[in-house]
Amino acid sequence: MACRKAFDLDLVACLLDADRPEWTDFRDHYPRCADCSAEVRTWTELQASLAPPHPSADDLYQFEVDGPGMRLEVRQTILAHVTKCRSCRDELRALRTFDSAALPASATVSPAPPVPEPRRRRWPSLRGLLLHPAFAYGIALAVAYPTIAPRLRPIVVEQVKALEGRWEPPPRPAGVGTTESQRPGAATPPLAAAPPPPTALRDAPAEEPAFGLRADADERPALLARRKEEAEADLSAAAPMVKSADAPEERTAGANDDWPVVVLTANREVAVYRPVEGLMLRLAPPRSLPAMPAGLAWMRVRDAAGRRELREQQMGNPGSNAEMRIPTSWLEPGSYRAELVLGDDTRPVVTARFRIEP
Amino acid sequence: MSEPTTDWMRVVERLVSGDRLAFVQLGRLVTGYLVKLRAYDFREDWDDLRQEVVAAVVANVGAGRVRDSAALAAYVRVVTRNKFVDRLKQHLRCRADEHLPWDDETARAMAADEVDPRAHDLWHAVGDLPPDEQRVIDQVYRQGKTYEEASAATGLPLGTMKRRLRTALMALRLRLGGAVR
Repeated sequence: MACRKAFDLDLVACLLDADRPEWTDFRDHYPRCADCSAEVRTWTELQASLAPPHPSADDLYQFEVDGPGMRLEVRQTILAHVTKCRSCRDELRALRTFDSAALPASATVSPAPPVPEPRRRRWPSLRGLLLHPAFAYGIALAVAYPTIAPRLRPIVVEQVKALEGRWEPPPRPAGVGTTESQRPGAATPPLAAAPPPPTALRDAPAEEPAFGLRADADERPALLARRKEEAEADLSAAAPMVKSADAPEERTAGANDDWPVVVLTANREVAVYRPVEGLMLRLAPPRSLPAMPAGLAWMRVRDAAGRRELREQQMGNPGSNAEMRIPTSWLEPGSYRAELVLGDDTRPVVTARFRIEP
Repeated sequence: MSEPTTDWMRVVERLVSGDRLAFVQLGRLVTGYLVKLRAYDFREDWDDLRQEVVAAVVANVGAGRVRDSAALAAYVRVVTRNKFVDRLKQHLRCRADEHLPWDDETARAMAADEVDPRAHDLWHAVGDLPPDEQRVIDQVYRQGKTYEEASAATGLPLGTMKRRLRTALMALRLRLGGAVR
């Protein structure tokens, strides 16, 4: 404790009547002084605990619009309070001058808008797809498929049988990214719930095509639709959190504002389509650390294997969400961990997971 | 404060439709946070702050950026604090990005429980104080009198009354677990 200003003056008097000119110097001083700030907060909490309760909003409103209609003793109590209480007088004055027309013009409370599409610029992407040479090859393959499929089928069936005997999908962590098709007892649809094959299997060139040809041609659109639904369901479920955490960030406007914001929470995995340019990740600090000092916190993102990592120092206000912008070039499809760490501590204080869908 | 049980989305809907009671309710929420922030020092700014916060809330709810009641209350808390800190820095002629120690204290104050459970014990503790000190606390805090009014009501000279008040508050603060020098 270095500064004793808060102890050398009559802090109680200062806090009770801060408007007086003799406290001007201290008022200018304490917000900049850690010792005096802490002292002022403690005394403020003490005084707030002793302060008499204000009349309820309903009573105050009633007092204003129909004071004579209230019971006499209630009215007198409120009157006595209002005479002494500047806050309530302010509220009454504001109430008298309230004009709903002065509210923001666009302020019609609408139902929650639909969750934005995870992928933006769909039409430019589609155009790019149509103009791509691979699309032409795909068309040619689709035309030739009825001719070549019967010849390939016996080979494919053999390879699929061989693979099914060798590979079992690794278990998923309980509660993470669970969809209807992955719950116990539910039939596992082909490909839909299949995680990426193990490296050893992926490295076997002769077996890899088996996966590509295993699904029937008309299964693929259904598969894509289902995966999209899963991703959207994840985003929808996260939407209230997205908004609750998103809303306070009024002062974070800056570059790359059009990048989709993904709000991560500690207890669920969020699936996101690979963005066009990049993502802004947002992660709330734990409630136990509401006053995390700016500059001490770092947000880091690691891929599932822990081979690649991005870190960014967090300079926001204490208690504000950690944010990090990640360009698409860094985001290969797969699973990632986002963590908040303090200083050199290697143990994260918060960990969240997200998955990039291709 | 009725934050946990109030449907703040509904309050905003009513406010937008011109309900003045909703205006008082939302204003009360903002005021509660201003008190926690020790914004008494900038009392003249309260009206402006409240209006700014209410306008921001209405605009953000209208734009669909805030969707549920809990998120709305949290939004009000953060926006109130941000706007207050901005204004404080303006008063103190600080740079907007400068970090003040008071920022940390406001974060702690806002993170504290809405109703401090110790407050109930505090008034019990007042009953353990010497009678003169009890009277002074009652006059100043329960009845909201000024020092001069409290001095006249208790019959104590002004200086004595202030000393008693200070001694009483020190004792209460010890009861709250704070260090007193």
